[in-house]
Amino acid sequence: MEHPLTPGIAHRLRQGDPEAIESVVDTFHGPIYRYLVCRGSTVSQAEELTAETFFQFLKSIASFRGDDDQIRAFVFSTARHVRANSYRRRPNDACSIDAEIAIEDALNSPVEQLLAQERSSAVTKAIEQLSEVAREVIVLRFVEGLSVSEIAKVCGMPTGTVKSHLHRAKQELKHELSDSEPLT
Amino acid sequence: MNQDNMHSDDDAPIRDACRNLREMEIPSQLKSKCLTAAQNGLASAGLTQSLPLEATSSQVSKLPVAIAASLLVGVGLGWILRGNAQPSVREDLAQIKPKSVFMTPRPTTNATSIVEYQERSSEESFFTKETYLCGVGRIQSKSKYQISREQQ
Repeated sequence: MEHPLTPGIAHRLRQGDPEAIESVVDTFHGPIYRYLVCRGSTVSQAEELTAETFFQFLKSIASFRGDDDQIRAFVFSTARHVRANSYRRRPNDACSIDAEIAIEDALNSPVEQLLAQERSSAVTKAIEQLSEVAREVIVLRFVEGLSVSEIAKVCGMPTGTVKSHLHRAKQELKHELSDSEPLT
Repeated sequence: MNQDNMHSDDDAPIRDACRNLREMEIPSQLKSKCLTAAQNGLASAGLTQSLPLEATSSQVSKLPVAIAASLLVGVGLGWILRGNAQPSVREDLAQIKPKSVFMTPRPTTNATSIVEYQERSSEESFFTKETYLCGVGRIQSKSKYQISREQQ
């Protein structure tokens, strides 16, 4: 679970404060990793991209002008760009292929086996059936718990558009989940 | 986790379905990996606070060290060349042939004849030996007046 950030952390990050950096890494390395796995990355890819996210985040921290409550959106936005750049370099890595690779990776360790089981579960399959935008907003909203305004900052779209996508995504997901298993 | 506007009845099934994903286990070595990457990112952005001061002080301290090293090298070379030059200086080149200058007849108190004077002829020489170091100039100068007697 996320740990709350101490007040004034944005300023201290811009100063290069080591404790602030450790606090941000401690708070967000789990959610970023989880986001990348849910978005179709394999375990090893998610680890690599998570580290790359923090590299890029601190590299561009001097240009961050937001407050403490905007750091989470900035981190997730960085992760989104890192993932997009990664898939641009590897254009054949579609979501379905990632799922297969994830299952292969799952054979390497108990954690990866559990993740493989998670990915084969109904909800992950249902999420994978969604469109790219719908998948994005569903993961950010229901897995990472971002607000609509934060999702708008991460995805670079107006809040009204986010709400529209979210509504449509929820309908699609409910439909997929109801096809696979009954919901109570 | 930000819970604003999330707790609606319609969203409950989706929220419950995503619970396992929210509780996904994170690899244990991931945090240290991310911390290292974060520090590398900060370093690449040049936000390491002590870096400018170290660069300035190192540049300032290098100058006298460089000057001292140059002087030591120059003095050392001078000593080496002085030592090497001693055997190679051709003293005979600087010698003034005694006969051409000093062989003006000088009355000697003990000479009774020309033959005796000739027997007691002396060779007098005067020479100056100077050592020059390229790029530095004259580093040593020695003058010598030598009288040697030949006994027949």
